[in-house]
Amino acid sequence: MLAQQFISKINLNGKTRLSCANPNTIMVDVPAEELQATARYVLNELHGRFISSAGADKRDIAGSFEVNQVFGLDQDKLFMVLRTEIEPTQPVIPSITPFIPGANWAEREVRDLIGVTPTDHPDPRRLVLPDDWPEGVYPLRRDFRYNEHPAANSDGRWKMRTPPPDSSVLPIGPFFPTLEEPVFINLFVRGEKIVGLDYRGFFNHRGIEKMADAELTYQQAIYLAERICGICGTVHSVCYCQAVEEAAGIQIPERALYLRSFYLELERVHSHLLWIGLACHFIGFDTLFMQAWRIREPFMWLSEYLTGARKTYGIAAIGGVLRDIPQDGPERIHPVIDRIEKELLAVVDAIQGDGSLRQRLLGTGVLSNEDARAYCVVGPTARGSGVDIDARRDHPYAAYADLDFEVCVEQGGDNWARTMVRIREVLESIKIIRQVLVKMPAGPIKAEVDEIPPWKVGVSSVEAPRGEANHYLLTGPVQRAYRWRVRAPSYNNLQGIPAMLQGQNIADAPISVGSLDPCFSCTERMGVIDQDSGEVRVYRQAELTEMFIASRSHERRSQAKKG
Amino acid sequence: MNSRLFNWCFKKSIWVYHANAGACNGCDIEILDVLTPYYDVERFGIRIVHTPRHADALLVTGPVTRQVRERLLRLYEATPEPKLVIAVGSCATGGGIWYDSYATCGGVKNVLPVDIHIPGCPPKPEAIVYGVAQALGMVPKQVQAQTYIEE
Amino acid sequence: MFKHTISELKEALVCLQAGQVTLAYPLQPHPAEENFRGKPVVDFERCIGCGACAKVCPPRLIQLTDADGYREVSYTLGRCTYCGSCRDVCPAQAVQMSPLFETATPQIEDINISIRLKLLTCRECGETIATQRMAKRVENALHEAGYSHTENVNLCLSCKRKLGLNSPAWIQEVTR
Repeated sequence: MLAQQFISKINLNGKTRLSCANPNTIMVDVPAEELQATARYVLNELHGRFISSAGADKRDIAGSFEVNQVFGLDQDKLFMVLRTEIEPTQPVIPSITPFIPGANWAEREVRDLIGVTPTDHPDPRRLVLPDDWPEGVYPLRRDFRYNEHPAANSDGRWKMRTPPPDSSVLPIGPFFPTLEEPVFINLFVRGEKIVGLDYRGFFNHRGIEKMADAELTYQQAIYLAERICGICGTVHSVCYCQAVEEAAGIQIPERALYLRSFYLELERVHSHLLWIGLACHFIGFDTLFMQAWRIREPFMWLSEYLTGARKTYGIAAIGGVLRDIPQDGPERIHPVIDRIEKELLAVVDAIQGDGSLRQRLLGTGVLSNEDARAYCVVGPTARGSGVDIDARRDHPYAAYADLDFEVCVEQGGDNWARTMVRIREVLESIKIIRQVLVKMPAGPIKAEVDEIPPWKVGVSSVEAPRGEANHYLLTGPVQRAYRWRVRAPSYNNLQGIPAMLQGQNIADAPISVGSLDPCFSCTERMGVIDQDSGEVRVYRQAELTEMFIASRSHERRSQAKKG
Repeated sequence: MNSRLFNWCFKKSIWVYHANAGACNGCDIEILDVLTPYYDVERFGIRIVHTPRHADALLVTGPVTRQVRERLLRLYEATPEPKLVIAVGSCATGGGIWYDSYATCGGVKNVLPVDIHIPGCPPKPEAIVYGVAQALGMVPKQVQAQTYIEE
Repeated sequence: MFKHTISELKEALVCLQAGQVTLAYPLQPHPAEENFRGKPVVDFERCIGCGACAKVCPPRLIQLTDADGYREVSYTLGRCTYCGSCRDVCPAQAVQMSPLFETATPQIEDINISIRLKLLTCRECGETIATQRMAKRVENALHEAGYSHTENVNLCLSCKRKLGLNSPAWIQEVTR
């Protein structure tokens, strides 16, 4: 349903004003004092799903800060943005985290980068900026130059949360074996059980959003977007282009839509095969790690042939795509995807009865349906817990409205469920690729684009392999974005980790975190510090596996005794 | 450092530690790819180790963000001599697309002494193998700075 | 237990059927695919020093500096993202993405490129107009389009205005 029709059905009183930014996006101008009530209305009456928050410094043009809360109305295929103006003299905003736990990080990021503080926030610590970043300096404000390097605050230190009573602290990271990204996790453990955790991430904060609104043009920012994540680069560059196109009202030629779907599914296949290998690597099943990546490699060569690079395809453009697939592309594509399908099915058949694998994956890392909704997780993490959301169906983009595909949902909520979701999605992606090659029409691949008009809002979602990636964009007056907010899927998924790990064994922590397919992987070697005696014990992977087996047989013995 | 000792130490196989200093993961998964069947760098005895204490070489990716810089320095100090630092990818070799951002240090060479740079975004697994082989003196350097002045 | 054994046998079968796939690289070459975007290379004879590449480069590694009668176009390829934008916009097809990927080096300056092209200065006031090659390109284009009046290519815009050489009347005269 178009935004305009939807507005007439909404019943919001008070000083709230509604308007359409574009056919897919409803802007709701809410004063700060009515924000919480409006957010509750969107959540409960309109069945909205919180996506992200974007703060902006509009003091030069409107004399105020602005905070936008983006919600997805999945059943109606629309986005709704709650826009609040904030007085610069008193930069505070009521927090929505108390009733939307998934908004925790988003609000802290607005505080870090713009300086608008959420009141009554349960965890107001610094999130994004480096520990030695001075207080009171907010990078996304317009008076901060993107290439400034303020002097270090030597007193800056990250403060860990107080652990629950009678628990020890396990520090993991930032550099760790098999940790593909630096991240610092403190697990609070009692014996073998995890009773809580504290997380310090954002070691990869590179200042991307600032560069797009201070230094790079619309065209250059496409390549910036592509390198947000090295595994789903096409997702972010296409999502950015879509946000610009929504804002500026640019129509894309049909062939370009199909090509975008094609390249996106290409990326999904390689990403999921990569994950299957990595997940097995975390639990020590290196055979499957090697086999999964062996199956995947010809696909990378195919991508290199079709796009010019194995991973950073570089094909997104505002108005369409930059390059078509070569004439003889289909001749090379079909044998490769047929072979992957055959080999993957053989592997899946082989592991169905694998007792060790099932023991490690079934029943571990359980994320309940309620928790998944509360933390607004997305992608296979959500679908593995029975939450039926998929941006390709709920907010159709590229050619997905014309393609026939199944959204893979499992009910278990454990690591096995998430594994099965991803395996099924690879097979679905292969089917989608075949459909695209058959249905793709001839024609131009890129629309002519004039100057992008300023002060237009565009919101776009793309289903990355990890979940929904959402970009919010406000166009600016000098042919670059005024504000660009990227919300990657792992941003929401990582917030669900504490709920997932609660009550789990330490040995199940790596695969549980890894099953989110975050843009980092987890531990195989941990140092345990006993808070009281100060003794340090280091566990090797073999020991962890033994601990796991011992704990399982202990459980079985105690169950046998009870029964 | 005695270069004869250095050459002798690295004659056979080197053990590498992979450190992500704020990279997007593109270079990291290409490094992992080098272990997988098609490229199998383990047949040369090169393997990834899980502690810098065992490492002969550090494979560093990423532009070195401000947040990770101190930890990277500590990692470098924890690695015993003789050691090599190999910067992998455009972010590590030149700072990448965000070389002048407020949140990055502009490349590994601004933080650690680099022995070999492997450019690419991300570099192909073959390029990474070539770079490591070059660090061991097995293959020659193929690039040279080019200057042209119009007559 | 039995199921598990069958599963293990199937997994072993998958590995056996795959066989050995390891490439002989680096003992034997493994060239990149046809359309691979490797290190940018510049045909020095074709480059005209227009700076289009510098405007689109995302890591902004292409710098144009005018000094001492020369324009230097310098590529600091250490931070190249291999996107191919420079190749896509070059009006002279001077920049190409080569298939070279074995670019490892101890000094990152080894992959840099520096091109110095002669500048054209205004015959009246001495201001820099553009490179001589750009002027030649304009002259050729004018000749091909049938205009014979190309003697004022070496005048800057302000001097042209001062001499009345781009007034509407004059333009009408030369295009008649």
